Amino acid sequence: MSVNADNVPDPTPVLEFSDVSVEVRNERSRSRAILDSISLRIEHGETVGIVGGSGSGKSTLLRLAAGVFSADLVLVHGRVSTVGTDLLGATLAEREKIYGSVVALVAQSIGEALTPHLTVLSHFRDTVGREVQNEQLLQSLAEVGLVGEKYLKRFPHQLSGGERQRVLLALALARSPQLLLLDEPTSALDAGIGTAVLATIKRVQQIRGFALVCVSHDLGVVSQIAKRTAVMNAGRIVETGATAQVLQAPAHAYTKVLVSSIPKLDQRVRESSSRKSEAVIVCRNLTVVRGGATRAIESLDFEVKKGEVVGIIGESGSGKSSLLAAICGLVPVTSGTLHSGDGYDLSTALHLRPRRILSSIQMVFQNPDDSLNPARTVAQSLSRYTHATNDQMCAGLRSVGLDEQFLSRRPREMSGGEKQRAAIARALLSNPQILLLDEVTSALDVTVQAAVMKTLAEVQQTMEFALVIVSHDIALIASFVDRILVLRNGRLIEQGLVANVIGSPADSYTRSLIEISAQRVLV
Amino acid sequence: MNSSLRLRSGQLPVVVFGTLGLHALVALLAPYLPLLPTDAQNSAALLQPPSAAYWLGTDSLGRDVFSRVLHGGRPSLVIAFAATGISAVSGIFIGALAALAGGWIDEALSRVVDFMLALPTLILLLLISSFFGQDPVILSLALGFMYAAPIARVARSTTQALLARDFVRVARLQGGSRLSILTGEILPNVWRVVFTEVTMQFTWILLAFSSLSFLGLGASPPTPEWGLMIAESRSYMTLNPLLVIAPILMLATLVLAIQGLVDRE
Repeated sequence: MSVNADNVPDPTPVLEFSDVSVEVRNERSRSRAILDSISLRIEHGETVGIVGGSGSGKSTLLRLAAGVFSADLVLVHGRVSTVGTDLLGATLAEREKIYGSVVALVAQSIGEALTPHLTVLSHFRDTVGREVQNEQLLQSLAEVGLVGEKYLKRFPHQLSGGERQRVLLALALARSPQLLLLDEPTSALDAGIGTAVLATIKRVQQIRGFALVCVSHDLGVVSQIAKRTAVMNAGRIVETGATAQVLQAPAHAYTKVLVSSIPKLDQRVRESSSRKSEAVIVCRNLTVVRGGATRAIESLDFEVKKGEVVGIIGESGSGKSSLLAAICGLVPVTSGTLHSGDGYDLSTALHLRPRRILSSIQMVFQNPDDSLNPARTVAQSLSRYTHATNDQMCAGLRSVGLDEQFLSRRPREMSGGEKQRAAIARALLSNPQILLLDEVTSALDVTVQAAVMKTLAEVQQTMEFALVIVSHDIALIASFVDRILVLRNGRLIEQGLVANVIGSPADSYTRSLIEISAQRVLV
Repeated sequence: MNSSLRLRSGQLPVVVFGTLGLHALVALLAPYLPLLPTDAQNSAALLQPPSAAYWLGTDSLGRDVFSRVLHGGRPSLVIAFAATGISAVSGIFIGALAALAGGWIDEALSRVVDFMLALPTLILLLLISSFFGQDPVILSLALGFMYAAPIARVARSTTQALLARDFVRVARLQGGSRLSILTGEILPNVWRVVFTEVTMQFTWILLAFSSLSFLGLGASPPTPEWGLMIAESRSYMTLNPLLVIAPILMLATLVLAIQGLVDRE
């Protein structure tokens, strides 16, 4: 499955891992295998995707390829050869010569990869050299889709996320490397912008013919860009093959789970609930102004029925999170009305609300590291405000798929998925009528996400609370909810049953969101 | 967090805890050890070099340096414990209150803290002890409130950051009262951050009190106190260098061990 660049027939592969094992050693000199007998060969001009969950070793693999080796890592055996050179054994001077001109790495955190006080022009001068001509730079920026002289003078904070990723790409390509390494190129971007960035990478690669290795937790990203895909789990490559084949006919058990965990637009993971007429939230002409004059939500009308599951989709900045925050009372209502089903005015400040109202609306947030108090055990977090008994807490944990031994654990001893499950259990102990979920699975691996969503579907069915889910992942929403709300710039542009909105979107914006999502899901 | 320390992290804890343990034992047990009285003067043996009777020799009044050095940490440690306690409690209280109350209360408290931070600590201490005398209670209070300012600052910013954390929001949604959120969610996490600062302050206060004693405004003679001992003996250090070296070593090892403890965090 090796694809040679047609103009340069070169016998040495551009990147070769032969039987590489790496351990990470911590302070107490305990070691843990992070890469286990990795063998991988990438030919000139080839595009390979590497997918795997967090902790699978995929980023370490990419760093080794770039010759980046941190002090706590130990190479147990094996050899990494980048364009015929053993970068790990190379001296600093040799490595500096190779880095950028032969191999270039685009790191994951686009927020930190550019120096805040340097303009784009200075970044280029540092990379390519002082004597570089502006025309040349404009050309390389135009190549990645940034047209205009204005970009050269901009500082990182004056660029959007997508623009930053494009600048990083242009910097990496500035010295015409033979191998480009991308670490999670789109994880910080909105789906639409991510897809556009991937298309740019693909186009530039076709023109220039460099080899490309793209690491991502998201099979959708890899499927858009790579012809060949390697699947990693627990430090091993469990499967390699043509991307289409890996996606459509996965051979290894882990790959099967991975592929089946990806939410699909047309594949329900939950039975629709029977629609009741009784509302739990009624909102009329709701406007929320946050931070000065910007309207996060503008004249919104909608209802949530008892036991209903509603999904809210939209790009970042569309007002999804603000809407949830307004419903639960964390953000004040600026104008319009917001009532609970029995007519209680939900524009009342939190500390003035009676306990009955407070416990009827609960929310779970996005960041698993932030959802539980790091200084307290799970039992303390679960019972402090709900006053749940030990039996209630055990039952609550069991309903979200955790057992009672988690009661004595602290957040630092738990994985992201476990923390989010505990946070959901805590919300449910209040016995809410409505549960608001703000991107609760976006920080989790896709396999963990699928398990958490399945658990949610089960508890929702037994406890029959209304559920409002916000997510950037349209397929996740479409596969789970009864009804969809589409927000854009704080306005409700479309709402309706899932089948109607996904099947025949009335608005062009909704249609474009769905198209982007459909492209990302399996070829 | 220092990488050069991490390399030696195998031995460091042993050294740190060993030194701290020894200091604690000496400070606690000094009065019960079979030592010569710290104020017993022997006019026949002035400025003696080390001998079987006087392990570290004698000072200009013929007192046993070994006994005085072992007793010499007690006054500073008592003051350091008291003052650090005062600075931690009042600093966290002021900082958390400012962040929780916000508005003009925050503004007012923050300006007071800024003012305190702008004052030269040692000069202010000199003024206080020359006005109010060398009363350990007043000195502890003065040191405690002076060192509360940096703690208040850290506590304020930490509390502000915590208020935006999701678990604090959840506590509000679940009907937690302001007091229970403060005691349950805010303070335990503020303490985790402030702890390092508090431990460092302990050493600064230790040094500040010894400096005061050195200047004659901390402990008063004939109390054995390291800073005071250095001050009393510096004219004779050519005759018996141990007179100065011994208290300096005690103070330095104690301060270094406590700071080593913080580095391990």
